[in-house]
Amino acid sequence: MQVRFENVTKSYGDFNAVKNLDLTIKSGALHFLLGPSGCGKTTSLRMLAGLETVTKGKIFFGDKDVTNLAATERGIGMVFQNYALWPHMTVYKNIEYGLKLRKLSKDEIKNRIDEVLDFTQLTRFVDRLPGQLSGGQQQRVALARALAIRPSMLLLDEPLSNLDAKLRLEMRENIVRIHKKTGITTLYVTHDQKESLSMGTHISVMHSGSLIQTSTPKGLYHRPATPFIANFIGETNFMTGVYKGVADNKRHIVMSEKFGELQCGHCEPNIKEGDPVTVSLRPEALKLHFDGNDKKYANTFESVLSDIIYLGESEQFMMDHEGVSLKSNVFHSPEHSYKEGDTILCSAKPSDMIILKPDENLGAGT
Amino acid sequence: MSNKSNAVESSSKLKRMISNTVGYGTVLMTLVMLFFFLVWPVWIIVKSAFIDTTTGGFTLQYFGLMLDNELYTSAIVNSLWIGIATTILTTIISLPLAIINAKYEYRGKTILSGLLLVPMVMPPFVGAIGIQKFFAKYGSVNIWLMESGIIEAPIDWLGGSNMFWAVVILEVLHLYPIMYLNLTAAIANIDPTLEEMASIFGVKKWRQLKDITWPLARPGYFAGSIIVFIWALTDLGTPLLVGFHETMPVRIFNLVTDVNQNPVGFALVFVVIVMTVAIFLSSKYLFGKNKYEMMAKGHVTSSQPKSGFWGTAAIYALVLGTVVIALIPHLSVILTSFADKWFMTALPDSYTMEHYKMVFNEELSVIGIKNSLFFAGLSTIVDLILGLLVAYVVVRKLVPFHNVLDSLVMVPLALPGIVLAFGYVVAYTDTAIDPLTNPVFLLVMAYAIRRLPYMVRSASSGLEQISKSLEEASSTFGASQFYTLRKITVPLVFANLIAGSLLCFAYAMLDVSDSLILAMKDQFYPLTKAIYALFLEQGSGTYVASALGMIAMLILTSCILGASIILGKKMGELFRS
Amino acid sequence: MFKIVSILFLLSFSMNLVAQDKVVIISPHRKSIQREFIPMFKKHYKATYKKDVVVEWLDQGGTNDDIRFVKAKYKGNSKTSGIDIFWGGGLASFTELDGLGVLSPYKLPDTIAKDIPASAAGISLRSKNNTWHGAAMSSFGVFFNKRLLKLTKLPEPKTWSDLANPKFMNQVTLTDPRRSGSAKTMNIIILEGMGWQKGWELLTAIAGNTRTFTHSSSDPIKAVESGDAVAAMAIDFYATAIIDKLGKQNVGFTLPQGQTVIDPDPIAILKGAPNRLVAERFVNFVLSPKAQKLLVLPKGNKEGPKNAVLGRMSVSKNTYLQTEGKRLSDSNPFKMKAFLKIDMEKVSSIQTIFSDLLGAVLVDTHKELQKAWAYQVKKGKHTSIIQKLAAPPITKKQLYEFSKKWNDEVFRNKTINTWTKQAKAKYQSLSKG
Repeated sequence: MQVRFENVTKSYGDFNAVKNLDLTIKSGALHFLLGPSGCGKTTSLRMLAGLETVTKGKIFFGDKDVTNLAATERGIGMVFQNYALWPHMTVYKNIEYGLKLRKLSKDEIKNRIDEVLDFTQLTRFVDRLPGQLSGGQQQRVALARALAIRPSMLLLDEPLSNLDAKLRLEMRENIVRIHKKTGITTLYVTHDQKESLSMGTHISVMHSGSLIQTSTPKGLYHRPATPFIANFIGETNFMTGVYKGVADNKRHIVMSEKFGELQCGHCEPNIKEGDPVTVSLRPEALKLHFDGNDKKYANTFESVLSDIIYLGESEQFMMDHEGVSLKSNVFHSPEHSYKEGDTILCSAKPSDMIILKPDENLGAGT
Repeated sequence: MSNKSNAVESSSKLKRMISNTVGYGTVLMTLVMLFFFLVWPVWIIVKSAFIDTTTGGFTLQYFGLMLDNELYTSAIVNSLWIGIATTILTTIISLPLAIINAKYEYRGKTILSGLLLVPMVMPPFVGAIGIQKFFAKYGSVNIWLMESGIIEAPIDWLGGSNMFWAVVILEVLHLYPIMYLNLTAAIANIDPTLEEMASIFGVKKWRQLKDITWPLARPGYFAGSIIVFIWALTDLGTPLLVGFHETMPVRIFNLVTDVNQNPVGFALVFVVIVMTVAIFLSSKYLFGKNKYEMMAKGHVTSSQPKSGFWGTAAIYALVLGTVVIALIPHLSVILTSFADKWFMTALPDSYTMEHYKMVFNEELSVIGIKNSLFFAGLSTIVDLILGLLVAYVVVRKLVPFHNVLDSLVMVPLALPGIVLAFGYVVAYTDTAIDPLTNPVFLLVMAYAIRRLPYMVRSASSGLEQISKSLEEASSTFGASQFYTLRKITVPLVFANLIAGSLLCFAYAMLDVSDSLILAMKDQFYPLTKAIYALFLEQGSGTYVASALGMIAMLILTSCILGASIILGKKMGELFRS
Repeated sequence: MFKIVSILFLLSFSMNLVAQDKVVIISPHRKSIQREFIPMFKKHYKATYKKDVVVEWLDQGGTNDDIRFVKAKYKGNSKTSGIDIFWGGGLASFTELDGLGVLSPYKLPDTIAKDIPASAAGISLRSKNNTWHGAAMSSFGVFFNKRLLKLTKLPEPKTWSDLANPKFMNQVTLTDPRRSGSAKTMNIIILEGMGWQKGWELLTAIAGNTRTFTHSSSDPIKAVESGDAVAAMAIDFYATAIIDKLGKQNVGFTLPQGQTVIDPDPIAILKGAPNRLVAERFVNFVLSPKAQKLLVLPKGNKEGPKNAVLGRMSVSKNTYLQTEGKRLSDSNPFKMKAFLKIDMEKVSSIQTIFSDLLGAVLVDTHKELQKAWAYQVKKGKHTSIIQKLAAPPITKKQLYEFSKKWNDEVFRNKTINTWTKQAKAKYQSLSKG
């Protein structure tokens, strides 16, 4: 089932928690809503579930306008951050409860419970109360409970945030596996970019109540739209300057006070000549020339080494160019004898240089 | 290096030991106080239930005589029914109010939820007059009904077969605030996602209430209903007012105030104490063990829906309707206080300010207000200390007999007023605290002991809600148990303590039996005894007493509204156990 | 907290340090009496004895409470209670106290005694051994709601027997004799005055008409005022105060002609009084014409009360002579025809058992009695059946015998249980064909 937010706004008094949200979640997608806490992602999910009213705009399930439909009528499965397991019911009862309401036959109920228990490897724990389960087990009960009703859509609100790192990795695989098996359209809310990059088919990034960019994980990483996203998804280097338009070689030219002329491979739409812009360059795309050979590349400049951080498979070189901090990840770095204070020649391929559109209103909302 | 750390350890060990000694010393003092001001004085009086008046030896005959007399057995049955009916009706009234207040946001909520508590305070003596004025055979209600042609002959609201229900309804109107506070707290403390999850599953609201909300709120509900039940079971004032004498408290009162103090009365007192403790303990075991720890505490989300226009109108109708009905007796007291003459008419024939003038010219009323504020204030402080310590000892199971202690502090709720006060008179006559010379100390103690159950229940609920791990965290830093109590625990249960104090203070201000018996001289009269003295005066006595009662109500109402505004939602944390 | 306690200790000691003439009075009397008598006594004391006097006035809220307190005091220390005077509470209370042996005889000086006769309307005004002295009197009568009489088309009640008329069914309010000394005295006098058999019949019929038995002697008045009952047996001064407030057109009060019931309201010096001399002076003062006038004169009269009307009867014959024409009420107990002449002291030895008996057969079984009475009235047989309905479970002689054993609580409660059961069975058998 495809789900669509159409220009949805949610306000509390003067405060807009969600602003003019337009978003389509494709049928069968494992769609992530990503953003820092307070960005409006949970509110959006709760509106989708029918737990919050919509101040303005519409929500569609397929072609059906569900904006004013109560939560009870939407047929959704949901896993809350704190799981919301009913503490007075056993695992079995927790799962059975939603099924019983659907007036299914006894056998059908039993089959479905067995199925989800099997899915989530909970069969051993059916008679326990939630208080007697570990965090991971509780999480699986919550998931099983949501899946048992075979919802048309599954909503997950930070489902892994209460688990430890190892369990989290395990559960990521679990969820992806279950999603693939069931094919349920799923909206997954998280603040963990790694979770979204590793699991999602689609990711929407929200900030201060606004949707900033929707893309695939790869697209998001390689073509972030704004400095915020570039910084939020992975690490990046920023260079500021003024947009000068497209050169003959189809490259976008930015004049930077500190870096000189920068040739960039991609530019976000709606940027005009003369606009101040930010250029993003991922650390792994910032090349260091240990041999000192400089003239072959576009975008070259010198930086002073301030620190080297050893990361196992790579080393991160921390550098300074006229007061701008830069990072470069070097994989399998050759033997070198650089130390703090040494000057290194740096360069970047124009295709790795992305001109971003400026962030809007980053002050609003908390 | 290891030497040094040992030295540090042993010095902090010493500190801990000193602190623990002080701590346990305080607990011991508390137990001693309970012994001297509850157990011993009550025993002095109640022991006559076991003493043969002719031989002076031990006997159980009075219990046999009590059971042999149908008057007493039927009184016990009547009282139990009053308790049951009152508990059920208060639940029916309080549940919607509590749900509204826990779930909806509406304009004027703070004030309205404060107003809901006002019927809790009813000035003694004049309250009875208020009810009589309205509901007597030729009281305002009947006269109005007859004048408007709705009925022909007057309805005997308070007489005959209506007496039982008259008592129950008055109890309900008086006690529902306690139940309401309790239920609100219980419901508000439920993690809202548990209900939201049910919504998502397509569960209808009423079904959620039944399947999710109710089982989770039940322990809190039973904690409140136990107070309401015991209160209705042992309340003397209301059945006396209505004239329904076939109840246990009235029978006890008659027997123990009999000039000879009939020992059968004390046998009955003993039975009531045993019943109270049994009901308390069994409910504690039956319903207390099903406490489900919430995975998360109810977070205050934006999800409290604002009611729309019609919703607000409905809420106002319900809340104000309840308040207005519950305040009818108070309204009548107000009318009486301004009435110049009021005889067999729906409303007074004419009005006057004369009675208020008389109140302000009356030395006794000024003394009474001052004394009451002072005594009630002091007794509240005593309750705070005693209540907190007892609750702490009980909840954290610091003594082996914690259940005995917990039941013991519930006993004052069941004690007939006269037993404790007269126990003090007998126990402390010709000592430095003889009430004949200066009753202040005993008055404060009597007020405090009598209100102790509220404070203990309130503090217990708070202590049970805070996780033990918070205290354990403190002890890992080497803090002693009682340092932790002061620095960690008390601040965390502060709201509960304030709420408990409010109840202690309000009911201490309205105390009757201790005040009448212990404050024997004019200069020690508390407000209630001043009201009583005015009330007894012939002619305008009841009118002037009503005026003073009104002033008492104003003082208490402003206390309650003030506290409910300051505390807001936390007001509801009351009485949970 | 212990600081506070110690301060309170100090406070309580320091209060006793000031040496002064002092008298300690325990009294269930209303504030209005205290307010008139005490300032006047202080002034009188200063003028007569050239000294200031401190009056400590104690009260626990009601007569029974005060008696219980005094008893507890003597239980702790049989020599003294630390209290000098017990004042007010009706005859029954004082015979009770006298029986306990806590009253100390005091013979009035002739100057005072000459004005006070030994009895009024057949009732003694002092005990034989001078342990108590009547300090005021109150009489019992019928208080009624005139508007309600009109509404219900009932005649104005004039005698006690009128209240026994079935027309007054459910329209009378009485006080439980076990709860009120004055109700106790009233019942005893009626029973003695009418004779054992007739007395029981009258009391039973009135109880059959009774709506409720109240807990306090002032409550029947309130029931009549609020229209719950048409008439009540009531004490004169409660009634006059209400008539004063509500007007003669609304409520009324009659003293049944030739059936006057008077209750002296005594004062007594307690055994081991710590301030005996001042206590005697106080008793003399209360009985002096000057003080007695406060009882009978209206507010506003130079010699009358300053704050509020007291509306009692004086025990001083001379006071009536001196206040002729100026009094609130014309009635003079010394001119009233005696209803009966009884030895109240002898009768008072049975007052506890008697009120227990009334309680068992009239009050505690009131519901059953009402049913039986209503049934018989409906069948028109109430006059013929009354003898059976009213038959007490024991004879007068047995009553005196039982009273000797009445301190044995086991015997007492057993007997009461039997009476209650018998009465209930009797009423139930008479409430059906």
